[in-house]
Amino acid sequence: MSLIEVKNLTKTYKIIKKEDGLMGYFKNLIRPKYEEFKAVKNINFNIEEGELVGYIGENGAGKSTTIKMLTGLLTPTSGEIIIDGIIPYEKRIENNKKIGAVFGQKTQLWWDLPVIESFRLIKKMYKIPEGEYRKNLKNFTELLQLEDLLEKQVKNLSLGQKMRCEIAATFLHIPKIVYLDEPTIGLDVLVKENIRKFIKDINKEKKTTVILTTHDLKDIEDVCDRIILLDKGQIIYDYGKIEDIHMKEAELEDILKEIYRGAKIC
Amino acid sequence: MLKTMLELGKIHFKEYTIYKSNFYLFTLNRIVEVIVYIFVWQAIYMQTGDAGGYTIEEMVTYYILVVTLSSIVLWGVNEDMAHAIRNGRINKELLSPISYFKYYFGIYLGEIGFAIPVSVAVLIICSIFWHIVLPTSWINMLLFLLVIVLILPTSFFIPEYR
Repeated sequence: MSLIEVKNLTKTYKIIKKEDGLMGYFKNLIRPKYEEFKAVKNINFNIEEGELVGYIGENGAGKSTTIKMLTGLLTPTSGEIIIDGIIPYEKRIENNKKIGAVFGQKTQLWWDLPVIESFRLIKKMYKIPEGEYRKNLKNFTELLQLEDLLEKQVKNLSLGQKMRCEIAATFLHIPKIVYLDEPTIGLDVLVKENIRKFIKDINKEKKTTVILTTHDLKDIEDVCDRIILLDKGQIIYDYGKIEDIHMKEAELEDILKEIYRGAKIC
Repeated sequence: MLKTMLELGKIHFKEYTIYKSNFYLFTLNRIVEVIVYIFVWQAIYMQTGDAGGYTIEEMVTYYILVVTLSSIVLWGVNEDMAHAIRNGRINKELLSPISYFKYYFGIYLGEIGFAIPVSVAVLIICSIFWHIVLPTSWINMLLFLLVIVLILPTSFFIPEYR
């Protein structure tokens, strides 16, 4: 049994069809017309423990919707998700204890308070034993260079500093699975490298399964050992091992371009 | 679980009080509210000399208590929830390893932790400037305190409408 099992997963959103003008606004208010939008269409994949998976695709391809269903934030329209033996949207709290997630630049840290306060709260919420918390904090502080940041208010941190703290907060309770939805967006090269190295190190040490969505091919090349390519809500490519791609003696970027062209995306 | 909720309350309280002016302005706002009520009632008493058999001191006491206690009992988390939905913070909240209910109860404790010192400050300042009429018996006083204690959990479940 795989750690993550996804079978025939579909998500359809019901969206209000907006009409122009003031009259249209009032019409919508009284009798809204809905249209359906299929964000994810019948996708299937299995992910094993310790895998580093790049879940990639264009904007609007359905990546974030899938991640939200995997985390239990959204309920699928149809299909099945089993994460470590449980259905996430049915047993959300139980699932939450095993996972960590970063959603782009939406912070899970407490904006006005020093970073360490958020870490202390995470310790309490996830019931991390004192010794383990101290060990992880020391380890992450070294790996992500957080020494000077812990006592600073989150609002006073730069984007890169904030993301390093965010990543540390996500991994602090050593989750089994981590979902990273575009964690390197808008960051400079050094911070990106720092984060990539951290993810690789933690995966190696703790066997944490990571699902990463990104538009940065270097993220995929450096971190992932498997890519799942999504287009218009469907999986168009699920490549087993990134080494296999290298064996073809081609750059990942070229291969992805070929894949995209093959699917007539660009 | 209570520890986690208290910790959430503590962190939310810290966030509220990190800006000192937040506390002072909130207290001032309440006092201005009391002053407006008192002026209105003083004007009414000057015209009519009576209002339903209550003396002006009793009416002033009533309004000081209304404003003081409303800082505590009308404090709900519904606005926080609405804000979290609008700005997407709800994702973070739903990914917590505790239920949404418990999460927000923790937040509510933090808000109450902020509101109580405000109420106490308003009461002390008002009692310096105006005479507060005390309850006629200890039983009334105890019942009044009991109602305040009971209204705290109740106001969590019933959202405020101001």
